[in-house]
Amino acid sequence: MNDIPLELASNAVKAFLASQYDKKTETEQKQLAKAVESNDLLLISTLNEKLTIAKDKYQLDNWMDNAANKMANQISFGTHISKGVHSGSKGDNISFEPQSSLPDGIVGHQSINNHKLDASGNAAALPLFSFFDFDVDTDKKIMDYIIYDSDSFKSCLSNNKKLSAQYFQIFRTLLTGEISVPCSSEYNKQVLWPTNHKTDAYICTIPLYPSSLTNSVYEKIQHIQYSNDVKIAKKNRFSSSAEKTPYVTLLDIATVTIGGSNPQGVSRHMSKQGGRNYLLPSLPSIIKQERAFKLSKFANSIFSTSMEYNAREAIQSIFKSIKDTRNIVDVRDARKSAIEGVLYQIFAAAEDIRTTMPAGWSKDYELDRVEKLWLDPKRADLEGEEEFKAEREQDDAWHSQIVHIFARWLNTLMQAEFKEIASNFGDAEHLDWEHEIEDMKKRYERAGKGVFL
Amino acid sequence: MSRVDDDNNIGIVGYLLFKKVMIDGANTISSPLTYGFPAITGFLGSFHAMSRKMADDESLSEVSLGGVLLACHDCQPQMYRPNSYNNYTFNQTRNPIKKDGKTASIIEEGKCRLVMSFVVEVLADTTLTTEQQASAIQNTKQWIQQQRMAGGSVRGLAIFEPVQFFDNSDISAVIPQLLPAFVLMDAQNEFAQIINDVQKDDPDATPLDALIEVCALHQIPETQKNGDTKWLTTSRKSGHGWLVPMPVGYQGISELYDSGVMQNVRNPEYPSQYVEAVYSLGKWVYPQRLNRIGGEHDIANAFWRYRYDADDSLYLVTQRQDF
Repeated sequence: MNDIPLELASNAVKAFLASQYDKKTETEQKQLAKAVESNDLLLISTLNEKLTIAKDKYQLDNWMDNAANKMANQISFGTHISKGVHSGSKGDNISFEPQSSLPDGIVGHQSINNHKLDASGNAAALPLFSFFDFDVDTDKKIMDYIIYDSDSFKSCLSNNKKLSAQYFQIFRTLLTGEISVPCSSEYNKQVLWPTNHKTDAYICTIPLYPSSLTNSVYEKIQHIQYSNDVKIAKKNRFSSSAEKTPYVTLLDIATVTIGGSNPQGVSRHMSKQGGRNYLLPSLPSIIKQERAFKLSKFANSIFSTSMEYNAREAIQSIFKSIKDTRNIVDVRDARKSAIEGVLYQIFAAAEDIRTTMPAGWSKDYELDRVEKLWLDPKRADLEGEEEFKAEREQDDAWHSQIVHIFARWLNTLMQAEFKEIASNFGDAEHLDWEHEIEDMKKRYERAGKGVFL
Repeated sequence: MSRVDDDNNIGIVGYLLFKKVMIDGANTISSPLTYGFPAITGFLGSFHAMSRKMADDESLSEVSLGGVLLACHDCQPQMYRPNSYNNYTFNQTRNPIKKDGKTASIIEEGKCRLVMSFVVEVLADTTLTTEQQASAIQNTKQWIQQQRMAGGSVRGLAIFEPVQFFDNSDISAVIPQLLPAFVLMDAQNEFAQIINDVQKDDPDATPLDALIEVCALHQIPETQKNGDTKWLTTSRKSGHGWLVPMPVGYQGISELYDSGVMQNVRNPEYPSQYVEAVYSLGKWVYPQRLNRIGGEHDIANAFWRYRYDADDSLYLVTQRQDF
């Protein structure tokens, strides 16, 4: 980075003050133009008075004096802010300049190309942020030059050389300043991290809100969801004549609002985002029944032809693995995993019934008693169901009975598919298969109650 | 090979299973960038606290707890969206009320209901006696209901044998007990691969873009021979399984301050440091895939542990054993 000539620096500061003046007096200037048109002398004089006061305020020396001596004490800068954790926090903000990169496959502050410094504090002091944020040229802001320690800016902040250097120093400390006495707050999260398993060694870690990072995510997601290109692409998808262009949708994004109705109290970025921040989903997949398995009122078991249909893909893969008669590890593993696949389907259907059907539904069904105990767990809590409850809780046998019913059902399926093998008891592979079922049965019997709760 | 840290030779003598732990009001906003499932540290902290209680117990003073396997049966974030085109917002409550009886301003929180099973490594010099096993089961069953987990309260456990002890050699017997649930696995390597793929298509893309890509569906138009347009929906995840972005710990963003230097900390007797959350990918795996010993999904690799790297000031949770 190179310093710029004094004249350009001075122009930048003047341009900033002019833009502030224009922005703050926009209404008055319009009113004045109208008043001049209608020749309303009284209004002209009051407006001129107001404008003179404003002009005075945005005089170089006046504004800088106010900025360096008042605003600078009311505002704090950082890439990571405390108020993002809780708007009541008075803890430190941190400007983080990474010294090292993160390991492969880990994302953090280092993963954004150009971070934007955030500011938090008294909203009345936010114009100071606008000053730092003012564009000098296409890719540099005033704050970049201050952080760089630019000699030109050092001498253009006041007509008095000494004052100018003094203001510059105040600004520079504010932007880069080391914290002399670190100070957290009761509103900040504080997490003790064990650094050694055996001894009482911990580090108190204090997570701050990564405002630069979340601002970058906000802008990226805002672009994906609402930018003009995307709007047009979405519209064109459903128009017959327009050219179709690809676009991206995001699934299950959530928003949190930081700072409530007053996000500018939290920080400058929050104020710009209206407090909105986007969150990406990390929900686990929950076992859900994809094809609704419907239990017939007259069926006496859930291991039926409709279950056969429900689990048909998994059952097919069992058939396939049995037809492969090589007795090697891969084949045996494939068999095991195929059986587990069938079990998955059964548990999914069972879980669906257990959680979606009302307590006591099984009273009207022809289902085997043991399967009612399994599939209607809440019935035990109903009035007049003490017998059901007792049976469910005291009798151990029903779990293993279900395993038996399952194994019998699976065996019948196998026998129907492999008629030749079923009659040929000398076939080593079939024996092996039976062992596997037996083994699975034992494993689930041991797990017993657990699986069926 | 040590699984916890370098300077101890305490071995894993067995495992404790906590079955179908129902948790209410757990924190579903796991970091400034993610929601859904609580941060892993929320569970590790809970079992670390339990391990400290063991040290004070007469019969278990030689025993401690190590890595934790997380299996999720059900997870219901309390949130709302008016239709599928909107983003979700979290259901908020205003509490506690202020001293003067007025309602407090809203600080957004996100809550979820969870049903989880945990398998926890039991560490000791020698195998546990039958009495010790019984005492471990009885005590931990009580302790787990007395403490917070991921910011929520434990409302109950499975009715039958909610806490069980498994011998070191018998770990595969735990797998059927985890059904039906999904186990959280580290997918840092898969993420590195996805970052690579994304950067191949767009050299300017950052790892952060790749993280967002994981949640994205690409809608691509394809013109058919007859002039009609067929829309394809593709995802970077396809072929990789159920991948999700999640926080995996912290990195230091300030110097490490000596104990007593930082003001207003909860434990001035320990050193302190400002940190930010760091992210990677996790993968939800069905337990049936966990049993291949030595394979990609060896169940011994499914345990999450604390790891502190002082040189790079990284505070990570990891399933890796080689450190």
